[in-house]
Amino acid sequence: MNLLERVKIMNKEEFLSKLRKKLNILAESEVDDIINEYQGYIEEKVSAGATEEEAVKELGNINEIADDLLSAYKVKTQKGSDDIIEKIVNKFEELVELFISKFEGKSAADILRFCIELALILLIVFICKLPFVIIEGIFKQIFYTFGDNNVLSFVNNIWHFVFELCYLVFAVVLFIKLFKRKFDSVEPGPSNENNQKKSNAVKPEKVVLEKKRKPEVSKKDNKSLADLIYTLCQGIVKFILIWILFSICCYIIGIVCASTFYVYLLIKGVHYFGIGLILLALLSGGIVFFETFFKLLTVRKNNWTRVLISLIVCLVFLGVGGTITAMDIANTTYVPYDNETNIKREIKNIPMEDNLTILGISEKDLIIDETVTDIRIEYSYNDIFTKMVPILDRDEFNVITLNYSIRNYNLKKAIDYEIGGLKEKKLLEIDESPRIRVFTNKENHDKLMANFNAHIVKEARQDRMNYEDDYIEE
Amino acid sequence: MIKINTQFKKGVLELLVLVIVEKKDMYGYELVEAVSKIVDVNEGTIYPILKRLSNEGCFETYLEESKEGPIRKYYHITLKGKCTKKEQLEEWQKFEKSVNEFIRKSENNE
Repeated sequence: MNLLERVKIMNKEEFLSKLRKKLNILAESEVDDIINEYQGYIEEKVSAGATEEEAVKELGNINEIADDLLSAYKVKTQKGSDDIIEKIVNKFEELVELFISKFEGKSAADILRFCIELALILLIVFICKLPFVIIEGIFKQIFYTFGDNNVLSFVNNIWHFVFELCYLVFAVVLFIKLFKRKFDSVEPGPSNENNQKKSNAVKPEKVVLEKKRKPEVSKKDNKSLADLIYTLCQGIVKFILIWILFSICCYIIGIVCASTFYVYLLIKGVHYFGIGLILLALLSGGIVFFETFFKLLTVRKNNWTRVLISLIVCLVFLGVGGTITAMDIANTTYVPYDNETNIKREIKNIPMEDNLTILGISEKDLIIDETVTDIRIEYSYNDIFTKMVPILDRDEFNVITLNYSIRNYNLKKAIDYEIGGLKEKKLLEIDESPRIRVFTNKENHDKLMANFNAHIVKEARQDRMNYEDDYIEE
Repeated sequence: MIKINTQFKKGVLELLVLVIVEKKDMYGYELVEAVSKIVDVNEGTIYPILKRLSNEGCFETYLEESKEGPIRKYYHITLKGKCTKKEQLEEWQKFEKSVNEFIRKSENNE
């Protein structure tokens, strides 16, 4: 060491803070990790009897340490984080490298034997499908005894899919187990011996260089293949995650819209608290799922306990909300069309004629009112509809069919109408067809009834004549 | 002269660390002490090696409480680490063998 390079004597705090400063280009979590390690080391040394200064001195030149640590991080590219995807793909990469390392320097016969054994393993795995097929067949038979319709065939398809999935998982696991057993019993390639024989014939110095070059090349090939597979897997998984996240987003937007509507109802006075709880549970559940998948995508740690607890709470809310809603629904009554409230009337007066027939009302709606000299036709309809136009279709036989046309359904009025009903836990029926009543005096009433009956008879005769040809009885 | 020595040591430190951790999971201080018994190095240079090997995926770490109180970070060798160790061990053995052979031959010729 140069006389001028005096090692500055530092205590623990000075060393650690200096080191931290030199490493500030790294991620904070990494720096914390490193500092903790060194701190732990110094403290252990101190508890073993040394002073802080001595312990720091043992560590050596702080600049060298910092340089070494920084160079260690140049290696860090996609790796180095605790993520499930990373872990899976890393494991895969390790296996590929191990696999390839076993094949170095094997003879052709060995490789052939290995392939045959591999084919044998595949055969065993395929034969194991048999029990799955048998069991699935039995289930199919049981299902078919219940009949054959759309629902059952759908359930059948689901069953089939489940079975295929089970078999696939089973097959993969079995294959891996058999393969591993075969694999581990196989010795790594005898590369040492072959290369050693060659080296003795040549100058030893050259050998060192050759040996260095050869493993490097093969290592590079392995690395690129593994890298390719690695990036491919990562891409696929990330794509699926993005797709899932998008679906969850749409779901959350839907729930928010429903919640807004619910709050509106709440303000208006409709109290269905169960639904509120359900919506809350669905929204929270959606948010939890979104968070989880988002963290998976952006390579952050997931606190699985928290996720689990949140989901359980959501389920509880869902259950409670569902029960309360069920009770509320049971207490809600369905009220058929109320013709007495919210009524508008359209009145049409027509003169009485001797051969007049009116169709489109039942007998009870033809009402005797002595104050009416001609015929008063009254249309009553719910004022949700802004306009209703009576239409009287008169044909050549003086038969009037009472018709109408409804216009301009007022949505706001309809909602207010229903909300008014729901406030009292009543579901009001809205019927667009108006109630039609005809008022006239007794004399006209009787004549109209007679004409009506005659009309019916005539119609029946017509019908029989039209269809008589069809009823050829032999 | 000292510089060459350091180069030798740095090259073989990785191998030593891999071999030691393969035998038994260790925490930082324990590992440094073990290596110091074999080769005389500045103990600060061992942690960068641990870090680099961890970043490459050769080591996994986990935390465990100790009897003395502080929480220790233990290093555990992975499948990849075992691969790397095997590679490095082979290289070292080849290297050591050829160097020794050469020296022996040179000594014999004198």
